[in-house]
Amino acid sequence: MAKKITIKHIAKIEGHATFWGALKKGDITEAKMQTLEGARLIEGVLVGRNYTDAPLVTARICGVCPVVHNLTAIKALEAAMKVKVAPSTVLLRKLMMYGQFIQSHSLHAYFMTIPDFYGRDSALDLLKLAPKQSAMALKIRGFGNKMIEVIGGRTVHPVNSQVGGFLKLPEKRRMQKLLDDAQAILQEAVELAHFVSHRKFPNFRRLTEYIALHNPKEYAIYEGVVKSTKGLRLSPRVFAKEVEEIFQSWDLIKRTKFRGRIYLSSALARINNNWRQLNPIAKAAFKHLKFKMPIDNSFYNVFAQAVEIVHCMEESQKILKRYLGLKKIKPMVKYKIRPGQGTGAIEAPRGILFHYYEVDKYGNLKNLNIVTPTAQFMNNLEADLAHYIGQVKKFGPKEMRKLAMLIRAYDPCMTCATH
Amino acid sequence: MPKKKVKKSKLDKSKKLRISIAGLTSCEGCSFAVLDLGMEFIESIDHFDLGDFHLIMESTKKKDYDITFVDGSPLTRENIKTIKLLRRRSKYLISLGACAGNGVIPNIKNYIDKKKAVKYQYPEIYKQVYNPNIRPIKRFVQVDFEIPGCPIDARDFITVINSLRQGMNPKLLENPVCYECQINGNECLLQKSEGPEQSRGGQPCLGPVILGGCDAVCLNSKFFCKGCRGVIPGYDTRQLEKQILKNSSRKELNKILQVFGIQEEWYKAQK
Repeated sequence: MAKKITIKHIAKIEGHATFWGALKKGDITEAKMQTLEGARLIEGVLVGRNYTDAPLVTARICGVCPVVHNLTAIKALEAAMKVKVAPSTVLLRKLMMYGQFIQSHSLHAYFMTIPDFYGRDSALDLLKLAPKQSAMALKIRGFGNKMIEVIGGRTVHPVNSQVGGFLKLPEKRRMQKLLDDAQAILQEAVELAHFVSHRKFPNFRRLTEYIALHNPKEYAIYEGVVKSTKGLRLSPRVFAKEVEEIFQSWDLIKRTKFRGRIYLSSALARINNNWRQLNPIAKAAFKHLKFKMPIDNSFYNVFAQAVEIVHCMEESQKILKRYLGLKKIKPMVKYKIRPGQGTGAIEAPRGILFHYYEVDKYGNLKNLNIVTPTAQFMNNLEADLAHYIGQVKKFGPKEMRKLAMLIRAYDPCMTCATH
Repeated sequence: MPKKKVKKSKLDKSKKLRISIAGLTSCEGCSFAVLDLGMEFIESIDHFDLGDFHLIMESTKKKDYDITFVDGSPLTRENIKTIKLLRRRSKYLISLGACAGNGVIPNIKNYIDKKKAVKYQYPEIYKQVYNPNIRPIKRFVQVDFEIPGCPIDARDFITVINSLRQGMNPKLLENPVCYECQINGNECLLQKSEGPEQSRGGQPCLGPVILGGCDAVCLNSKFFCKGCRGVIPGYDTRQLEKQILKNSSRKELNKILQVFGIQEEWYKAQK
């Protein structure tokens, strides 16, 4: 006899989604997630428009990670038109990325996921249950937002970053203020990471292929090559070309496979691939839990995010210092519009994001494609869910919560996936 | 200051008002802008009974709300049902941001061949994809108030809920973006040449006719105004259009107007 379990609307994730699984005498037959978002056709409406629209329009794919779409579009267009930006521009963009990580992670790894560990439904309850940590998480998030605002001009949908550099340089005074505040925030981030590490994570094991960007010089976020725990090493251009987008008539998300395999791209995948390159304080916080690598419990994605907040705080301090030490800074390089194709890849808070553009000689977009992290890990999430349901004998409220927790642990972004 | 008669709202202010922040299809940036207020949001919302805000809580499944904010545009059949249901359940319905207010990015497809657009993005399953023209929620239900912007300025959200709590009808600023831009001491982009459209005389900035209240945030970063907050009611756009057409073609102007869905409004304002 088949038994069906459903979650009609999954709260505390970005966007709207529904879940259903069918149980057959303890053997799972299927576990599926479906988006409840409509088709906004971002790719469809951008074709034929001027390239300057791409960073602006693609940022509107997602309200929680607009910076990553904005910058990936810019990087891809720069690759297409062979624009080489100044080193100071790269520093500012990296700071925007760290701001993005800090704000997105502190929302998810604290407010969206921690209430479950207390058996609560609302993040507002946390303010009473853990007032100190809640205040810290808010402050950390505020810092991330501030950093994006100072450099990008606005937190949600930045306007300042463009192809070639920035329209206007951030005020040095405000950058100095960020640096002054950073140390205190870093300490709070460490405390928060410890707080998250002390939660009781459910037991769960399922090994998969973990794919992340890798950069020999640093913990890759802004740039790198595609690397996996199964020995894959490819340039983003080749990976984005080869990755297979699968259409299903019942869902608007184009789930992906790479060479026939499903894989995970997320904070956990980054940690599994690159944890040796974490900054010292973040590494210490990470080692505290004495994991056997690679971590095969997807629930720990939340902890991986908390560690990344610490890492990004340390890295921000370094880069802010370097930026403030620069003498002559040019906001933007001059460039010519020319035809070409380019791929941009960036580590978004939820995994690798790819943008591909083909530009004609007038600067109009001939072709484009966007592959989001959620579309990439969706197959793996469903496999995890099926695996989890297979282990459970009887479904009560406790098991249902764990199921929702597993979905939330991935930090799925349905608006990105259904762009 | 002369005493003004303040319009009373239809809400009962003797008990905590129940709020819900609901989402249709959008990037949810407006909801995040509200969350980005951090402590200010939490302190303000403490005076209300928050019934539903899916980003941070499970729905309390209450059947009626005093105030409902709607973020996003109706893009699925389910979305259309939802917006009608929300209207029935709420005393005061507010559109949160430009998606709900006038359609924004997805509405570009209203101006192009939308069948081609869906075929481009979903070549294998385009026949199954629901692909309606984008219409703001006010075409489906009556909307009591609109908070403009893509994304909204979160301070507007606070202003609105505080007015309603005091039993007044909310009111936002009604000056053009130009006004705030000049107070901030920015150089005029309409008259000057700089930025991405380097070789031209001036940039097609829409600031003079667009509703302000955003602190000219784009112009503070030297990014010309593309009109996400909509044309101010009663303003004529002809004068500005003449100025813009000196340096840009009609086609270019239309493409700018399409991004935030104000093309219709723009030409309507000339009649």
